[in-house]
Amino acid sequence: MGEMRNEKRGDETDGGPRLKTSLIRSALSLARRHLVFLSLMLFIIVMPFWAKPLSRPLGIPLVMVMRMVGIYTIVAVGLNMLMGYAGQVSLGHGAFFGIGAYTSAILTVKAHFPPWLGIVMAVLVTIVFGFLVAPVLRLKGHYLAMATLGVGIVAFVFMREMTWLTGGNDGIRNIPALSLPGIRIGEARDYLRAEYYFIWVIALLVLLLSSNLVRSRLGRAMRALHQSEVAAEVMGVDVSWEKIKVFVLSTALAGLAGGIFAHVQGYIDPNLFTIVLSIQLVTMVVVGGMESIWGAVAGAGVITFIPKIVEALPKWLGEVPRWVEKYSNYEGMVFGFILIVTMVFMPAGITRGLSDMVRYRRSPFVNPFRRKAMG
Amino acid sequence: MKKTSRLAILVVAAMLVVSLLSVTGCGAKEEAEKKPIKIGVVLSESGANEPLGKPERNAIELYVKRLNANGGINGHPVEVIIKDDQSDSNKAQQAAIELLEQEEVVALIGSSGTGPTLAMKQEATKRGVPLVCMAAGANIMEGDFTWVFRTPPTATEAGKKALAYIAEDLGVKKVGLLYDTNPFGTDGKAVVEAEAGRFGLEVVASEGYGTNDSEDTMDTHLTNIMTAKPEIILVWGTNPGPAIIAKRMKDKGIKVPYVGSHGIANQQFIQLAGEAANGVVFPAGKMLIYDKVLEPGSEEYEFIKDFDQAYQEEYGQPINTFAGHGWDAILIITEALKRAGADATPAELRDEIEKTQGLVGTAGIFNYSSKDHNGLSPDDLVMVEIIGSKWEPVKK
Repeated sequence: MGEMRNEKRGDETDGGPRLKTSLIRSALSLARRHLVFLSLMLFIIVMPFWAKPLSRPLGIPLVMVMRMVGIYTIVAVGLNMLMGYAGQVSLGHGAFFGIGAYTSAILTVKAHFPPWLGIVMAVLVTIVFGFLVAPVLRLKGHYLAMATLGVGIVAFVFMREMTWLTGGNDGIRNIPALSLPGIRIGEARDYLRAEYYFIWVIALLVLLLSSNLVRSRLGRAMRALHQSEVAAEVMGVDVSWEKIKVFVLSTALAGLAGGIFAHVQGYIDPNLFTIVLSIQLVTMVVVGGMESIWGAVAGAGVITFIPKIVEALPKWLGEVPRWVEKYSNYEGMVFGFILIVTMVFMPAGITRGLSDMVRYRRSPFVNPFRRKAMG
Repeated sequence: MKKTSRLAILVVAAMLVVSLLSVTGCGAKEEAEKKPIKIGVVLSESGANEPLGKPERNAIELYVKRLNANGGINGHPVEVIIKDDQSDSNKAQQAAIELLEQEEVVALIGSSGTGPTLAMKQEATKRGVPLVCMAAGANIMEGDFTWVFRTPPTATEAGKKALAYIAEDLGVKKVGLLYDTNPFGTDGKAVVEAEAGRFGLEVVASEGYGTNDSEDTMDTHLTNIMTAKPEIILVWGTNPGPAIIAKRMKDKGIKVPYVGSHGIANQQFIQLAGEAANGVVFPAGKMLIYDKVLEPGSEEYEFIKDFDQAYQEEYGQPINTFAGHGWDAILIITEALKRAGADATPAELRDEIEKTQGLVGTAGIFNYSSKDHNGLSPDDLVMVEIIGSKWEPVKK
């Protein structure tokens, strides 16, 4: 479970004599309860100020990467609720992300919608598609995984072949930049930073709402049906309806992120939304930690940063050996290696592993060679 | 209370970081006089467009080296920051953002291919910084082109030149059009179909082929075209397609004249088509055969000769079209900078580039205006014929 839930609700039993102290007390206890959220928010606010001097020596454009982390966080949180809490695997979320991106791109480029309205429409359209696809949720386990994989492939083929609507392989160009009614987001040199803040305000809102949601009735129902659908049904949970609800919610978040992505990217083509993206999204959830909203953030961060770090490695180490360069896709190698290490040694994901380390002062690493180590 | 104190430490640390930064921010303002003028360049030095990106880089570096040796712009040296986009739109966009936001360049050059250029256009337009591009795709100038300028001739100029040749010099009426279905070929097809009527020509058959089509498939396309009995075949594509078509036409004994596009204006076509290349006519920049079409002593001749000699001296290779694009791109920006002043803002520089008139470059004479950001005209091209595996000007 997420580390926040185990905390006690402060000790406000004696109630201060004056209103002022009690206000401070309640504010403090609120802050304590949302420690993780607040520190993430602080980090997000402060990050761009020190990104500039750091980016060049590191060889990694920090704000640019963090902007993508924000976008992926929105998708990963939704997918985490679906996979981690409700136990339903989806290998088709890259497609919903793509549907969101195409919706907003087509509406803004061809029908001249303002970008914010395009993004709202992206959410609505992915909700519709979510409902259309929802019947596959009757399947379980790897059958469900296969079916959602199929959904992803079908969506990809449509994006590529419906040339009159999507531009086919050439995709859609000249997508307008983000804006709000009456306000242009960002000016001149600060465009990147403005987009970054815009994305993270939305991502933090999504995080806040989701962390409340998983503690609500729906959250409890989700966890119940993850354990045993039969038991959940007996307890009065409308299993199929709860599953559809969480699935549609997660597709809506994918659509939201996709819509924003289209305007940040400026151009889209089907190759941005292949099965590889879907797998990456699933990896974010798994590496970050299932059943942990914060894990989604960590997963999105790790998976987005790894390729950038690998790309920057030659800058840090000097030349890359010839034989490595020959395998031009050594990004993939490092990526796979980290995945294996995480899965073998920290099966509950990095957030859980590290938070256990802090809380119980024990190594987060599982010894895979010990019998029954994996419980 | 442990958690609260941890939070407090975090807050304090964050504040420290911010305050430290504002201090360094102030320090950075003290700068030397005659600071360098930064220009950002994004090229495809690897990936599919590598043969384009390498000569472009060579030309730009050489130009700047010579410019700085001669005192730069009003005493300010020019600094070019070159990044490789690996022929990938995403990387080009990332590079453009870094150049614009981190390096705060006053102008951008790039990229080699149309896809990466469109990605760069996006970022340059958002921030209002001029971009001089070296790609020829028609869609670059679609939509808002306020901030984009182009150096190479496009399908419009080349198409008009080729059609004028067919109508006036060959004096035929019926054109059979074979085009590559890639963006280069479809650009050409659109221009040819739109302009043919104005030259009194009729496109009697038009057939698209795939970039990777085999010889057998090409035969089918040729047969289809020939059933419409065209008096001339116009082929719009880049290698190897046009070379395969030339060979198949020779093998099948098709005697109709072959007119190509500016996409075959390189040695590769002659190598691939071999004997079949002889007699092929295509539009190309004058630079290709400048010593045969330009008057020695004229401004254009001397300009290209100077470029040719400097390039040969530095790199030991003959000049080519793409090196020419790089040379023109940096020339256009620095000439405008000389007029706008070394401390011109990107917006002032853009306005100055738009005022460029009669500027002699390697691709021709550039004339920009608020309506035309392509700069060249059909007169900047010449019709070239391949005779004995060599380029010769078409005799009138």
